[in-house]
Amino acid sequence: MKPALALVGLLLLASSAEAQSEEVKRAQAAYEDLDYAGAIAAAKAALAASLDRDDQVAVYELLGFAYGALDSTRQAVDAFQQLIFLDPDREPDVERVSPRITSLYAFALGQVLVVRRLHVDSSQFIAGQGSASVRFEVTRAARMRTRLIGPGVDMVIDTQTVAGGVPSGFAWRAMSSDSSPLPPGEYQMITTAYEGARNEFASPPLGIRVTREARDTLAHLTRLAGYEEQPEMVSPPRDYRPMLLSLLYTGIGAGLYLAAEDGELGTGPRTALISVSVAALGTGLFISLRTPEPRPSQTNILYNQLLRDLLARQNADIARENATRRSQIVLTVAPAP
Amino acid sequence: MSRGASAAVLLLAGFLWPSVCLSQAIRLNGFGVAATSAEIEEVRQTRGLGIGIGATAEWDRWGLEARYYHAGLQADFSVQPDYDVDQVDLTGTWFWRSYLAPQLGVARRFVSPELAAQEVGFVRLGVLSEVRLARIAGLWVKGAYLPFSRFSGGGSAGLSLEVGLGVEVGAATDRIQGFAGFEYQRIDREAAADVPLQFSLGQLGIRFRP
Repeated sequence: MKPALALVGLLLLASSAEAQSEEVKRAQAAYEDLDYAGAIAAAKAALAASLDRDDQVAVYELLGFAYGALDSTRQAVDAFQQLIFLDPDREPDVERVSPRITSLYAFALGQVLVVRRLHVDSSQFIAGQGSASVRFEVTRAARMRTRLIGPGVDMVIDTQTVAGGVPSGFAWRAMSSDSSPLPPGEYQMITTAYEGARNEFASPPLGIRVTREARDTLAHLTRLAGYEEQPEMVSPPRDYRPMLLSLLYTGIGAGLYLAAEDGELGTGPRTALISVSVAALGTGLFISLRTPEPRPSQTNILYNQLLRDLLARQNADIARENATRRSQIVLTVAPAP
Repeated sequence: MSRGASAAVLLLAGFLWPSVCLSQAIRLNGFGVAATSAEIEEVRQTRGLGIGIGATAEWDRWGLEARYYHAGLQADFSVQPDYDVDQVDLTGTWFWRSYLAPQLGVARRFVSPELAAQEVGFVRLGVLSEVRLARIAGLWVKGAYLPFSRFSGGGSAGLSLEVGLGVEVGAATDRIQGFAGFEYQRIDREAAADVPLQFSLGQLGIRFRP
């Protein structure tokens, strides 16, 4: 069990063992050789020297793993507590670290008051209307105070009491104390947890970049998508009714004449009758066969009028919206790179 | 112009003037005529050309038309002398439907020289049907019964009919319209014997809206 435990710990340490001091390397080499006592001695020696933060983190993690491998629970928890103070967001990988180590780490976490996973969601919103989500977690129930420091700004942006071990947060409107949008720049957010009068912990500063810009205005519409104006003059389909009517009327006229004609007095008037009949039939034929004259389409005219009215109303709405937008500022909040 | 024709013109003006003053739609007509006339038998046929004037006035669903024309008729046979004919018509119309309008009218036809042919006066009771083929053209057909007829040579009328057909070109709102029409009149006059007569008229003219 113990060699396997150590092997897992080695894998974890190897991934973070870059640019380390000689003492740290010696401690890790001893740990890799499963010489836990040697590793602990080397790590303690390394701590006596001046180490940077990353080396301190690596050494306390190695100590926690080594004490855990030796079943030295108290020492392992102590080591993990130091590790948590140095790097609250660091956690053993549950996929690679044994449950025992993980439980020791969790026990250590429950013993200390730290603020973890402080994070601001990248977001863009209209100043005064929207907000960015700030999320964090505190290991024990505590009173929280979040402070923002930046160009010309040093203000408390949130205070609340939260339960331990559960995700918490608040909506940050990115406004100054005078209710104006924050000026653009780099800011630092620090969340401090208070437990009683003497126990407190401040999170590492979280860098935040705030930019601001004028809100885009909307373009005026020249047409409504999906709707086209219809032609207001429309040629009707060819109509044969005039020809039929001329046939009917000429037939009636000629028929009446033939019925009334007195044959004993000759057929002299027929020339005039034929001439007028030909004129009537020709007129009917001409009107039926000619290209129909375009006529105003009341339906299309009304449709176009409605379309123009709708377009005008929408552009009036856009103009009002643009007037509002010109007075608005868009804030972009994101973690600093 | 004969004395009768002059009287007819005066009559026309007298009838027309009040309606012109009161009406809403007035049109003046000028037209050429081609007339034929025959009495008793085919060989006594005459034909000739002439001119005419007229006026129509419409108010609401009522219409009044006055017309005068003159034509010089030449005979085809030496028994029948040439003569001039003058006719004046006055017709009232009630536009009951666009395609059906009852008509009531009176007319007097004069001839010169006297006794060259029958002068006729009659009352017309008929029906007019008009239809618009399009905005720019229309047709009409009409038929009438002549219940009362008087003749310069005496006698009475048996069957007396009048039919007509015409075409009109031009929008109703245009100032000038063209028209062509044909009218045929048959009167079975009876005196000591049957002495029928027929009269036809072809018209080609324009209407003017003042």
